[in-house]
Amino acid sequence: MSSSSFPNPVRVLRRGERDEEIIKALKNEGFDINACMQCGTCTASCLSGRWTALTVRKVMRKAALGDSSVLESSDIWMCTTCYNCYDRCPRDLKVTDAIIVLRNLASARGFIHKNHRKVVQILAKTGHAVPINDKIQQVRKELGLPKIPPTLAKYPEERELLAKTLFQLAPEEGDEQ
Amino acid sequence: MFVCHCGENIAGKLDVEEVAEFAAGLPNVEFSTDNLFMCSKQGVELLKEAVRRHKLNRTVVASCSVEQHWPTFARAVEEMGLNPHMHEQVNIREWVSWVTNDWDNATEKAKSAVAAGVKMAALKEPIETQKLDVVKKVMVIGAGVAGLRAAMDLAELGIPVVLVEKEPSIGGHMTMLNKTFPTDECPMCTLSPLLNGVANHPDIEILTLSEVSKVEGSVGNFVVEVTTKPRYVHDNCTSCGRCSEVCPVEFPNEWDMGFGMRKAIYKPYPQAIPSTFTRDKKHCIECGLCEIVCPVQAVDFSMKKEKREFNVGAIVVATGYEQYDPVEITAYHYDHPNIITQLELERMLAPTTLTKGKILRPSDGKVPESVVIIQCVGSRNDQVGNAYCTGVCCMYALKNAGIIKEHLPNTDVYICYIDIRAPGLYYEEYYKKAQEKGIIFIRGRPSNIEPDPYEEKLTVFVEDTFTGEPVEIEADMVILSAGMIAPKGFGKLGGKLGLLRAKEGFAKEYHIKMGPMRSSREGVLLAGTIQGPRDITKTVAHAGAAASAAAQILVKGFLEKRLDTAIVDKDLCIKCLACSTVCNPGAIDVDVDGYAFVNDTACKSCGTCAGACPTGAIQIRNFRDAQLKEEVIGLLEYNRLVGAAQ
Repeated sequence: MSSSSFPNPVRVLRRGERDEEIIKALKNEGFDINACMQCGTCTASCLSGRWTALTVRKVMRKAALGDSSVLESSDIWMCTTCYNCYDRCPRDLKVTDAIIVLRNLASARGFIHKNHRKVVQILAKTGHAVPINDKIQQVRKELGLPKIPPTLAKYPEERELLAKTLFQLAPEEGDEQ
Repeated sequence: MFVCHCGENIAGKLDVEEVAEFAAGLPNVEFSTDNLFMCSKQGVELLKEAVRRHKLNRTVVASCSVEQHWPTFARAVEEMGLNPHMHEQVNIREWVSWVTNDWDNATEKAKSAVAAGVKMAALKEPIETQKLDVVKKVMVIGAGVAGLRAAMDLAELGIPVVLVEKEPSIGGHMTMLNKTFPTDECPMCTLSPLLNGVANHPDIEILTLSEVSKVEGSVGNFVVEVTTKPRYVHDNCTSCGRCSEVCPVEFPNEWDMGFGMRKAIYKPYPQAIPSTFTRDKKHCIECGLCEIVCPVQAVDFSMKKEKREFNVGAIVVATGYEQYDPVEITAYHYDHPNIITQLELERMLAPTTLTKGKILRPSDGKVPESVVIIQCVGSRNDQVGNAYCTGVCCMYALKNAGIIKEHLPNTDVYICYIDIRAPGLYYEEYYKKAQEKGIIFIRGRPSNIEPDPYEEKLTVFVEDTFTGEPVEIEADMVILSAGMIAPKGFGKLGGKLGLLRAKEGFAKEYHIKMGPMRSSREGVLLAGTIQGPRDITKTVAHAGAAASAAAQILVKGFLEKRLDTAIVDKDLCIKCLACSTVCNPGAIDVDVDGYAFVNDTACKSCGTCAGACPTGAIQIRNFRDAQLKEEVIGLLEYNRLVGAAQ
């Protein structure tokens, strides 16, 4: 049964076409995605989901089926990690942790939300998520604080070292960048 | 006169105090009051005290149905020295308050019912009870786990049992299973102590290859005729199996659902009880080799069909279920070799079958890489006439999916379901365990299965309703979780026993909550899946309840029969016997003079005879024409009174 003539072909569940890496990564973190019974408590608890496209239940479903589109979509980045779902899951699954695992996996593959990527780039460049611009320097001056705080910003060598190790993101991939 | 509030059931819908006040003004009424709960101890005491203080000789309680609380108040007046039938029950709950929201009219209707009841009470006649001897013996029809359990429980109470089974061996469907949920135990291990116990019990007589051919009599004293088909092998068979070895005829074993072979002289499975071999006359070519090799001359082609009569006090019907035949759902292509049912899978998993317990694709013996299990095949489907949920398939699908995953860890196992129904202790846990085994659950009922015309592959079309996407699953094997249906041949037996059946084909229970093991006929009990689909746990409990209900009739040695039965007035009887022809339980005979004569034991007090009688000679005690007329007068008089007032 070929569906190739349709613009959006029907998904075929075929052996070996599942993204086992997703399932394995979750399992390694002690999260058994198969135990999810799709009750929707997570979605109903989700504060972010009321305002964004995030449907936690669907994220869990796609992860359970090894559907890699879950990593490509921006949904997982909409989670605020408030841990409401984690707290309320009747099967006692660590839902929020699972989202973090999925984010790590997505990041490793280069799927990072562009705003998050920018934050990391600024971190690598300045050592601060919030840049120390002229306005902030002025405020610091008025408060009698040194112009540059005693953080990474003050130690450019350390900053460069960290930029090389910690803040190295996988190259951009996917359409959303 | 006592008017009951029944909490808010009656008092919430009509003015009970007004009804009680009205009753006080009726002729013959000495005392009238209302009470919150007449059936409570205080209510009954109130009634007794009133009888004592006012020297009442008749009581009327306006509350619920005769079925529900007539016995409660009748017992109370009996304790006060009156005949229990001096109590009259007026139903103002089911007939009035439960069926209306109209306060004023409900109060009026309750008053008219009370007026009729008071008229009727004045004419009530005392009725005696008669002690009837019962036969302390029970027939259990069907020797599956329900029949075995019921037979054993009865025999252990010292009640002899005749166990009738139509197959050559006892044990039923449970012996066909590979494992049982939720413990994954081997069913033969759990069942065989019961099987052997029943087979060796001195108080249990087992009749295999037998069916009930005639039923007469009534509760406490049934006469049942059993027809036994010839086995063609005598009981001295040592089960050595030489006959089977030499038999040249081989074909698929029905007991193995075609996944094993048997000869024309055979035993369905190694542990079968009785272990005597059976000759299958239909397939036998009569070469006589078995007769020659039998070392004990047990094989005897000359055996004939036998009929025997048994006198029993009660009958337990435990004829079990049949698996739904999915062939009528054409979109599922059950005729395809790689699409099988769960019961067939259970047989495939048995070590004695052709695959030796391995899970292999039936068409070519390949190890399947992808197996799809489809739920609700023949259940929850109005199209095939089974609107009900079998309630067992979810659990055995979880079990078998887990077993497949254990046998073949690299095989993908899918379960396509509408809802997973795993209620009760250990069942939801079992579901979670199955999920953790890595079974892929797709919530969605497959629309169709498409077999590939060139390869062995099958494609299952289903919506994953969780993501809202249509998906196709490529499968090597599809297993259909076929539901349980009432056995096809049950109509004939049910007719002989005079049982009502539910529209789904199962035997109708007396009351879904309070009498699920009683049938529509007194003295006939229901055990197990013949009353409706259920799993082994519930079947065993149900069978125990049926056994105890059967014993309840028999242990005292006598029955107390209320003689509010039909009675014939010989002066009016014209010997037409119209009553006898319409009597369903067959309670009306002819006496020596040719008059109709009522057998009180069999009479169900239904009154059909009274309707058929052209002269009014046959009447039901306390439902005589004269009494009913007075009751109707009470009703009409009140209505006329109200009509005139308006």
